Amino acid sequence: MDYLTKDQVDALKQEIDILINNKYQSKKNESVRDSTLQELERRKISPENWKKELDTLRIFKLTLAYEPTRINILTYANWIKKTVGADVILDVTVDPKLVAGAQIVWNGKYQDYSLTEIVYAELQRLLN
Amino acid sequence: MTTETALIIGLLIVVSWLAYEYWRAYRKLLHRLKDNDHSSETAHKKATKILDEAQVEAVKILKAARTGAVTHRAQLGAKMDAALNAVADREIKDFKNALEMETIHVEKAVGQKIATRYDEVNKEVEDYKVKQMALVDQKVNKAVVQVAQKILGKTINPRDHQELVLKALEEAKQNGLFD
Repeated sequence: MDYLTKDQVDALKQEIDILINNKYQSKKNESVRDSTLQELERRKISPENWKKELDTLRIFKLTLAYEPTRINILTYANWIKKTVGADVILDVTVDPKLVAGAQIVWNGKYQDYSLTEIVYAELQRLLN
Repeated sequence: MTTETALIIGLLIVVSWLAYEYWRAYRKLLHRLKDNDHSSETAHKKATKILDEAQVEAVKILKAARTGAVTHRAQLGAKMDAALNAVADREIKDFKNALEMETIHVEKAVGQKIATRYDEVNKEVEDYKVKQMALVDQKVNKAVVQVAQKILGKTINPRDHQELVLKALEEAKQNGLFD
């Protein structure tokens, strides 16, 4: 399983927590997806270790000006994994004030590549 | 002739002489008394005349004095009236001047205060106006910017957005953000 976004990983962690808590119950919990159970079977590791592995993933924060499509997220996640590292997951938030472009937080560093300032400056120039 | 006869004769002569002298002295006395009486009467008349004249003169003087006093009093009264009027006029004039000066001073002070207060209020109003205009401008600008940002954000399609995001990621890479 390829982890793309923080939301996906958080949901997976919740499922693993359920599995850990219901370890000794034979009945299948409806809150855990089949794909998750299959992946756990495939990996041949305990739910606890799988969770520890997920905790080691690094988070790449990306703030966008629009609500991205699944294809957009897939595109960005692939680019990041290829460029930054395979153990990186995407944490996407939306802020319409950015107009376009993105704000990035990586490894404790913040960079603004949005068009907010440019557009704001231009609008101010037109208004004044 | 005997001595006795001679003595008698001599005595007679002496007595006659004495009698004559007595008579003459008596006559002289009478004459003097007569003169005295006449002088006394004359003096009395003169005195009476002088007194009369003096009385007339005194009456004249008194009349003149009275007339003079009346005239003088009238003149004095007129002078005093004039002086009092002059003083009163001067006082009134001085008071009027002082009042005018004070009124002008008060008017000036009040005018100055009003002008100062007017300037202050005017400045406060101007400051408030400028402040409010700045606030309105700020709000309008903010609203316009927000609207513009929303419109621009929505105008750009997801494909263009993606292109701009990938461009941003490439730029971050070139800037060494991922090193």
